[in-house]
Amino acid sequence: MPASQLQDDFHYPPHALRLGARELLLTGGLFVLFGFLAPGLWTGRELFEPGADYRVPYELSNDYWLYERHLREASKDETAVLLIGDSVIWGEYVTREGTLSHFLNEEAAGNQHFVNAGLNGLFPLALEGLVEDFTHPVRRRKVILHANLLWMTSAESDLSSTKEQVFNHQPLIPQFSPPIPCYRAPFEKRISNLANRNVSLFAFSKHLQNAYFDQLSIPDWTMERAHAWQAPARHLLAGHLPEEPHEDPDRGETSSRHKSWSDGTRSPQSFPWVSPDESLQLAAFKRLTTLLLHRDNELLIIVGPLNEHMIAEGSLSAYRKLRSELVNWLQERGILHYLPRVLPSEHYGDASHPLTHGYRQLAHEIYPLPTFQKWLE
Amino acid sequence: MLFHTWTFLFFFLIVFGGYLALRPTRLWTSWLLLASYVFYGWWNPFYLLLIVYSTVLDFGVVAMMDRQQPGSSNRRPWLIVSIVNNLTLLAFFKYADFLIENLNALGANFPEASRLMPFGLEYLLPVGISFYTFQSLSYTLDFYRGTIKRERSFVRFATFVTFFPQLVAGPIERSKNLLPQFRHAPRITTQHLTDGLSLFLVGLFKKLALANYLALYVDLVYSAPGDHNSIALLFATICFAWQIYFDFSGYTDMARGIARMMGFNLMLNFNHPYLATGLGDFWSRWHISLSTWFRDYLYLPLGGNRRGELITCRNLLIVFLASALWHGAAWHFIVWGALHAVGIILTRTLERSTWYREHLPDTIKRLWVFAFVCFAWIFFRAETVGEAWLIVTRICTLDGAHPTTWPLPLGWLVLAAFAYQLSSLTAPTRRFITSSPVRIATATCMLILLVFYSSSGGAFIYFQF
Repeated sequence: MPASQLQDDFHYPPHALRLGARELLLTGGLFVLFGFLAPGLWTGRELFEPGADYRVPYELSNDYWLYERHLREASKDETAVLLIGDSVIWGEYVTREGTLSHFLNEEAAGNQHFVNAGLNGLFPLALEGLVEDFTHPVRRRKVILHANLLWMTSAESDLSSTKEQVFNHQPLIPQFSPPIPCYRAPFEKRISNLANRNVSLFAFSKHLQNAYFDQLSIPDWTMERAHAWQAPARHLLAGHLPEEPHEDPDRGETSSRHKSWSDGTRSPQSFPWVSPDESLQLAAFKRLTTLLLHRDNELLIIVGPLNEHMIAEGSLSAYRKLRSELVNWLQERGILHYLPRVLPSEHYGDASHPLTHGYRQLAHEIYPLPTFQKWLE
Repeated sequence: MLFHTWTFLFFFLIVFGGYLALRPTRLWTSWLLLASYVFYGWWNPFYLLLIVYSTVLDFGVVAMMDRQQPGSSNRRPWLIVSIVNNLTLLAFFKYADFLIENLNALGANFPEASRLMPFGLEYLLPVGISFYTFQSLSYTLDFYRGTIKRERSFVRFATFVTFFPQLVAGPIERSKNLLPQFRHAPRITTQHLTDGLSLFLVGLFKKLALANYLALYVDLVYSAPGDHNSIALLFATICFAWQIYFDFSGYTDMARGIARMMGFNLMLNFNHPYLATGLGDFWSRWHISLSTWFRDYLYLPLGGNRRGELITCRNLLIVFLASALWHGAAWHFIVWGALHAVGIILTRTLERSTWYREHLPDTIKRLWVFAFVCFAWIFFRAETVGEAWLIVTRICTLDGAHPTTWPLPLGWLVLAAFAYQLSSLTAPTRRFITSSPVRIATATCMLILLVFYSSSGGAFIYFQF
């Protein structure tokens, strides 16, 4: 007997949706099935052809589903070596043909495929979350992890200050533990962030919003955009995955941002470095390293090179102490690591980001190293 | 704590788990009371003082009444204590600001007059105060009338006043219906759980996918009515009619669903109000728990319709003005209430005529009722009477000076809402809609749309009341 005909004193409006136990189970089953099938079916439909130097476009920096898809595609190549890190790996001032992964690919001349798995706006606390939830396709792969000590220049950068801060990639940072004093999101937001990270259907839904609906929810998109008359489904089916512009006014050697840090009026600065024992970012980086090792990734850590020309003399010793602390920690655990030489001053765009020539030089220094070659084998 | 949040999901899982574990013991009501206080205190712990005050007062008042002989006039002062206290509480938090604002406006005509409270009076209206005050008051009124017995357990009574599923936006339960349900741990069957989950899903969908979406357009147009032409204003008004229905009935569905999962029956609060064939019929389908509250505790004690046509009209006017004031202290609410009162007074004779009942097609009746209700909603939704009047004149004069923009999906949504309501009217469509495969498909689509098409949105409209 259908549930709607059961005798009960509970009042239902006529023809209200009333499901019996079996119907609810079936509904749940169909929904779960949809959750599994929809992203896969969409993947088959969505044209995604990452070239050798593909990186997740700047506009889609929050699209973690796309990031995971990028890694899944890249991991199909047996020779793939992933470069994971923040905007230093991604290439803040350079086009995708000016990144470290690009020049390593040039050096490798087809023997290996170095994949740009950096994401703009990341930092170790967020990188930890990204790796935890969105890098499953690259288990047991070779990974070059970049350590950027810039995030420990001050309590604010380290996110260990108690003053509330707004920063990128909040969904990726630890929501509850360890506590991040400057992160004051309400309980609801934190739970929601965890759900979005752990339920792939939610991440997929965010991908559609990010990639096709100007990073708005679909209802908001129908309201706020001039093409409100267009049905969202038609827009979605007619749409294409956004790609990096060929002529990016903000990146590349022709852009006004692509200039040495010393071209302007900037002079060396003193940084109030955080203590290694108190640094949240350093602790996150260590946890991240351990996680990758547990996943059987063959790991190589590249520490820096930070723009030491920009660090005032008095501040350098604190930086080196911090770096030694990290290096000692890596050595104690037998983790392969490399500290590249500091690049010439003019090859830096700021305190940590190299310019195109800097990346070229870095790749040229790293690739021929016997340790590196041995690791690649 | 809102029903459509992760926080509530966690809260409910803990409460439900504890409730199931404690049901065999005597502690289950205390557990529900604790949960209800946590739920309410989540907004602002200081609000708990008010609700505890109201609860203790009414519990004590009834205990004092119980000491008097049934039917004795000595009970009356205690009833007055309860009414005055509850209404003062309500008046202080809801109407003091309105009163002072109007007195100041009046005083502005007399240059020598000093301003009342010149520093302003911005009270933070405790959420749900109108709902629990009325619910608590119904207990003293019912006891005074002798229709219920005194509740001797304070915990049980406090749980009745604060029962978290319906605490902040109803349904306003009667002691006769809900209080006895706290006497014994209710049986929980599979059907309770499935009914509860079905209701919750429908409510969640109504709120997140429908009401919040409609709100985007309504807020856009009503925030600057002067910038929109007649078509946009008309469409926004129709959207608001559906928004408030989906928002409020969505909340009720979720409230009833949560209670149902725990084995409790809360009253039906909405019954396809836009299918009403008369204004009286509309009020028997819209916010039923409030309409019946006013009917039982105000309209009937005033004499109802038994004392001649003039007194009936007066009673209707009083009830609708009281209902308007219950919604909020603002002139636009009063105009909204007055419109409904006048509408009912003018049409009640017509609606009872044979011609209206038997010859006028139901479609025409429904159309006119919906049109009238929408017209009144303009005053309900607008910020001021002046703004409402601007909207009315723009719509009536077919002002086309400003470009019209409204999203196509919203148009489809409104049409679908009409179609769904109408589908309950004929047996074949009703059979189709309630067939098992269609229900499963509908529920699955709702879940999918909740993931992909819901808009973030804040509190329910009725929380402000």
